[in-house]
Amino acid sequence: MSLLQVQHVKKIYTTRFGGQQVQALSDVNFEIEVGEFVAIMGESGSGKTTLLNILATLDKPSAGKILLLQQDMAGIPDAKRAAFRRDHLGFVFQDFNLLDTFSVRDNILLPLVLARVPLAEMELRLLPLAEQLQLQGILQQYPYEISGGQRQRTAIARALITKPKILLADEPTGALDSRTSENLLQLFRQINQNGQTILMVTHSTKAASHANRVLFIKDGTVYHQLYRTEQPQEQFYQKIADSLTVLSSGGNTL
Amino acid sequence: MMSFFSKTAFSTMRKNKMIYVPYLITASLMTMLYYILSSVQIMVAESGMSGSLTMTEILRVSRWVSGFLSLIFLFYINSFVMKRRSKEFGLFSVLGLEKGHLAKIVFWEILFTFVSSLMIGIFSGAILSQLMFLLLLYIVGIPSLLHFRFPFQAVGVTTILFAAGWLVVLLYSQVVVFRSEPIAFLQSAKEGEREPKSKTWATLLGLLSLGAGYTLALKVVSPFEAIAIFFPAVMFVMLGTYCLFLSGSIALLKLLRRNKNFYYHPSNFISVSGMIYRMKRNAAGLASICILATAVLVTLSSTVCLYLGEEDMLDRQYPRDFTISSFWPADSPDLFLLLKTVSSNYAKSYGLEIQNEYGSIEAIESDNDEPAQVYYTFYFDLNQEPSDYAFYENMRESYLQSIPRLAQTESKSLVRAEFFQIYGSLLFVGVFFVALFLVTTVLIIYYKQITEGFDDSERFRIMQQVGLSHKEVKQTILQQILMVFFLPLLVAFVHISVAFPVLLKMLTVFGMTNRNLFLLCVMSSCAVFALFYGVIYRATAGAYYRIVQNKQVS
Repeated sequence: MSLLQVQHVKKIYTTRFGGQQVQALSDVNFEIEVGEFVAIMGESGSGKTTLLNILATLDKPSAGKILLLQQDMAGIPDAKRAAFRRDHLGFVFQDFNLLDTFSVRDNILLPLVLARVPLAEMELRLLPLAEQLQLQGILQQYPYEISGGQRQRTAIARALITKPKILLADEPTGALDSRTSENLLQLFRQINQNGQTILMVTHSTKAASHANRVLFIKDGTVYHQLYRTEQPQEQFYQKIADSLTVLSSGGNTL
Repeated sequence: MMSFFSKTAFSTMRKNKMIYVPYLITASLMTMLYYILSSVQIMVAESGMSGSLTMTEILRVSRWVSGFLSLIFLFYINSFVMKRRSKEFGLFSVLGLEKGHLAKIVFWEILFTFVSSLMIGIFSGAILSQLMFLLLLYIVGIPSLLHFRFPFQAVGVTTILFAAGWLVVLLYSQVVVFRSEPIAFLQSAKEGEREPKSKTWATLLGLLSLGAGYTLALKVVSPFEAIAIFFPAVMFVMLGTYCLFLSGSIALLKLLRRNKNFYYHPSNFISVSGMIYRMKRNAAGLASICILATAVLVTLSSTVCLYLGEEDMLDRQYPRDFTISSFWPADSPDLFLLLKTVSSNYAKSYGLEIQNEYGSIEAIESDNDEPAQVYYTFYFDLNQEPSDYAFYENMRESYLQSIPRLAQTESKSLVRAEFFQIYGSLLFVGVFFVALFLVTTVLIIYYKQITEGFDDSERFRIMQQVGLSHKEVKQTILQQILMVFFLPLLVAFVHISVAFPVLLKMLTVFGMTNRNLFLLCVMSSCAVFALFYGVIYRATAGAYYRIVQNKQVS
């Protein structure tokens, strides 16, 4: 079943003073099935962050449609947007975006508190998740007291606790060292194998090689895509690297 | 030609106008208040009107006190401004400016602030001081003569005082610049601050100190005792307020956090955690607001009460229009008849009759050797106002001829004029102090709000990504500010309630014993101040919301 459909999405920014227009996305089309783990790759300025913001309902497309479970996201009124985000989407950011004012436990519970979930239900959801993400020991600590990997796992727990339809990750390994990154990506695969749909934006070939499918964005449009199928990760990594080389050298077909 | 440093100083001030404009306005207002007080003092002294000596004295003392307070407040506000700018200094250092260069930029900024606030202050003060002089004359009930004056001495005094004050501010700022470490600023933004620990010793010290202050206040019996304990009690209460705001508030918030049913509710969740987090930085500001608020309430209610209670005090001390008193040995014959005859004859010489007369006797304790004495007082009214002013002027002379041991001859209408001069001047001065306190309070509140707005905008951005709606942002902000904002006001109300008996005792020294009047004055001062505070709250909450919302997602 198609979970997310992106159809002819276009985004044009107008600069603040006067009419100069910048086209961030020209025509983006793709679909994501339930249970997929998709990576979107592209260079800086290719429009991948804009795309993620639009998918996250943090920004609106200038044209085109985005359907989540056949429902048009443009049809959600502004007042319901926050609730929609809270109930259907989970986010993981490059710089974690944890709040220093809350303990790890409260950071994870934040979306549930905002959704006014009863206290007992919160506890019920927190414990298995904390166990899965190995956070049991640090629940009472604060974000500034724990390591980068622990922070990112906390952020993932916060994203997953609402049982989102789709987990959106923006350069989740960007601020982590290679060993921690590898652990985190393993974790993503594990979560994905448990049935969670993941969409990850990255420019790290290593990170993308953990996905089932990689979309390449260039100049605001989906330029190419690769499926992992049954090949081993090293081989997939090589393929992605080759594609990137083609993309950046000879890719000027337009 | 302007140097690089002065140009940089001007451009940074323009960029920081959210901070600088209110700073400049406050400094100008303080200068203006001081200038008005000095020039009104000079105008009163030179007017040569009756009672000008008392009024000049009151104005002179309060001018010094207000000058001193203004400088303290300026210094406090400046240290606040400097703290906010540490990041900017860090950036400048990274861009290659040495500390000496930064010091020069700061020098130009302070020089500019000093010169412009002095000019604006004196100019607006010159315009307003004439009006204020008229207002003072109106309050004390003296018919006024209008002529525009511009006392140059006042300009001199104001310039010297504020130059000295700004020099101290300049020195402090230079020290801050030279002690700053640029790298620390740039890192601190990312690092995140630790949650403050609730300090047991501070809580204890605060409780003890506040308890001591309150006990002193509540145990007072006599008016003179009240005056003697007033300043120690104020010191204790101030110390207690600071300590308790610092540690007590954190302990209280942590208690709220432990109550899970309360805490895990959207707006409580965000407000309580946010407040715990920044209480350390906040506490001093809140305690200052609380103390300034208490100062406003005390000043306003007691000066208004003294002014309004003037007739009351007069009636208590002088039950009749005229009061004649005299000392006599205890075994002397009844003197009332003599006093009555003398008074009656004196009145008749002006074609008047005495009426409502009565007398009182008071035994005076004597040392063992001297013969015991008695204090006779005779009171009377006249059937009509004496038309000839000589009646008052010759009264004492005339009585002295027949009563050799005369103590006092007082006429109520002359004393009334004197009372109006004293209590009117006190009210006038009181209004100035209230203005000074309010200006400072408003500025502290304003700075608190914008600082917090900048700090919080990032937090609210993250929370909106996680699913907090606009409406909830607004609600949470209102609740959070409400809790923080009205805490100092509430504590100020508690302070003034406890201080009420002491203040009342102190007022009896002036002869003011009307408890209900004072209660009314205190309550209406509280009401007016709360209203004013509410308006400030609305305005600054709006500014805060705009800052937070500025950087938000849709």
